[in-house]
Amino acid sequence: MSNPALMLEQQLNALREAYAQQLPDKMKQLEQTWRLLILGQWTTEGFKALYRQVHGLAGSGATFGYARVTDTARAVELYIKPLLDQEPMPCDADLLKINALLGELRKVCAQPDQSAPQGERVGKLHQFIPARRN
Amino acid sequence: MSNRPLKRILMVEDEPDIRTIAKFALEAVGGFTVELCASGSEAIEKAVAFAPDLLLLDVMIAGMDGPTTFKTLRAMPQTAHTPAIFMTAKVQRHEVEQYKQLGAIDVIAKPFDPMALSAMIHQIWEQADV
Repeated sequence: MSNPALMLEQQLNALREAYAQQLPDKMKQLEQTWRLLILGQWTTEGFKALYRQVHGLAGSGATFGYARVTDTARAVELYIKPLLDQEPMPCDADLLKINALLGELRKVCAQPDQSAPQGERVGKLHQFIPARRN
Repeated sequence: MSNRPLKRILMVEDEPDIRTIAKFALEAVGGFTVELCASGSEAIEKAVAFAPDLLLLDVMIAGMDGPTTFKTLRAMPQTAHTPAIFMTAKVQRHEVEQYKQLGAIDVIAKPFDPMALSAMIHQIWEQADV
């Protein structure tokens, strides 16, 4: 007999794995945006694009079970936010700090860890299933 | 406390990853009928035909943001009274109050637990005066 909770767990695990596999590519895109900014021409629009990419990772990481992705991306996001409207561009110290924070994010995205043990998730599922409305 | 049934949710979220896992969280886990929109303008286009019971709006959407989308939907007769929940990483009390003053019934923090999202929405719905 099929177990609905386990089936949902399997679906969720598949979504998590797919997300984890995409993380290195997401990080590459983010680093490309950053390289264009610091090696090419600095633009406020480009900096805002970087902010949005980091914000996306911060919002999605823990939702997929990768809390370290969220925490590390959030640190970059919080550092960048007050600098977004600064003209003409952030100072060298800020650029170095952002570079270092992105380096941390790269490491985490290369080896994301899942923050919730599977047993705990299944337990939550069993608790929730009876409350489901159709 | 609400006695109205909650079945149809229109969600506005510009992050494809979040739309994917929200679809799982709301449809597979929660059993809702869901319309996912990638932008505020898409939501405005689809809202009337979909006739949602609830709007679930990310705050920071590219282009037309969540609050602006909500105000636009509020100005349309068909969705003028549709309850809304905002989703945002910013969950400081004054910000929550700001969204409630706009007319939202509550705010859900991001990141969210996909296994708990539907239960959280049911809880908000049951406690809301809608």
